[in-house]
Amino acid sequence: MKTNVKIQIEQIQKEKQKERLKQYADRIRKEVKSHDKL
Amino acid sequence: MISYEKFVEEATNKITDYLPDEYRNATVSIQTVTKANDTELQGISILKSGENICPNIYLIDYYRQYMQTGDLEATLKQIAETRIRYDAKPMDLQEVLDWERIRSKVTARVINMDTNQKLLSKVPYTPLADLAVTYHVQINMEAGQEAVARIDHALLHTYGVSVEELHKEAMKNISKPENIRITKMSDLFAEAGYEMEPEMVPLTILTNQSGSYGAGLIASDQALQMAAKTVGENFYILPSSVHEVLLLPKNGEYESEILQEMVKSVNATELDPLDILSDRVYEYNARTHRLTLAGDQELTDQMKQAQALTEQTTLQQDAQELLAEAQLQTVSLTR
Repeated sequence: MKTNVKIQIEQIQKEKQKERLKQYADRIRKEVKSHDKL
Repeated sequence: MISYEKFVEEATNKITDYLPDEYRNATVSIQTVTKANDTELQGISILKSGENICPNIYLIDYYRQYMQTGDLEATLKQIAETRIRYDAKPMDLQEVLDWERIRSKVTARVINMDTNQKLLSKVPYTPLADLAVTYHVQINMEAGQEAVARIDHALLHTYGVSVEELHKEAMKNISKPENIRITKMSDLFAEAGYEMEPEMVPLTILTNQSGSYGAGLIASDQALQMAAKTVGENFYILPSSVHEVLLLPKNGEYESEILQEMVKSVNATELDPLDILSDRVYEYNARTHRLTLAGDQELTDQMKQAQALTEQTTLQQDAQELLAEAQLQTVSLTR
C-alpha cells in the first residue's frame, strides 16, 4: 500500500480563543448574578 | 481587493518569486484537505526538487490577512516565510513512516462524530460519547504554528499497530503533566488586566501547552483527574471549541439544559465552523473516573428514579391487590 503523507501547517488562533472565552465568562457571570438575585 | 479564487491563483503563480533560489524549480500545487466538521480547506504545497514531502499551508487565514491589510506582496512574503521556517525543522518521510521513531510524537484530538462522517471514513478513531478521538503526528514549529500529519488508515497500516495501541501511545504523550494546562478563567483575565471575582466566573480552562486542539485532553483520564484537584470531584465540561474545554463545578447551581443552551448559542454565533466541537455538555466524576454526556446522565438518573417509583407503585398496587384479596377471603371466611 502506497502511503501518501500530508503535512499540514496550522496557525494557532489566539485572538479567536480570547473572544470565545470572554463570551463564556460573560454568560456564566450573568447566570451567577441571576442566582444571586434568587 | 482580489477575490479568494484570484488570491489562490496569484499565490500559486508568484510564490516562488518570494523564495530563495533553491526553490526555483519547486513544484507548486493546491491541495484540498478535509478538516474538522467536514470543512474543505485549500492549502499551497511547495515541493522542492528532490524532496518527497512538503507542508500544506492553508491559504484562507492568509487571505483574511490580505483582506485586512490590502497588501498582497506582504501576504505572499509571509506564506514564503512559513515555507522556509518549515525547512529549518524538516521531518523526513522515513521518520513519519517509522512507528518507533514517531510514537513519542503521536497526539490525540477530539472532533464531533456526527459532523465529521466524511473525515472519519478516512481515519482510525476511538469513540468517546458523541466525539471521536483522532490521531496525529506533531512537529512543533516556531511560536504560533504547528506542522501536523494526520494518521489515516494507510499510515496506521504502515505502522503495523492496532487502534488500541495507537490510542494508548497518544494518551501517554498528551497526558504528560508538562503538556496539560489548567488555568482559572479569573487568573487569565487578571493577566490581561481585567479583574474578576473568581466566584463570579467559576470556570477553569483545560487545554494543552500550545493551546491548539487541546480539547483532546478530555480523552485523558489523567488530565481530568488533575483538573479535579482544581475544580472539585464532580464537574461539567463545556466544549468551548476543539482547542480547549471549560470546566464548571457541579454543585447544584447550574442546570445542564441551561449550560447546553449556552454552548449551542456560542457555537452558533461566535465560532468558526472549523472550531466547533459539540453542542452537548459533558460531566466527569473523578471518584468513578466516568465521563458522560450530562443530559444522558441526568436522564439515566431520572429513569432510575422513574423506575424506582414504578417499582414502588407496582409494589403498592400488589400490596393493595393482596390486601383486597385478603379482605375478600376474610369476608368469605366470615360468611
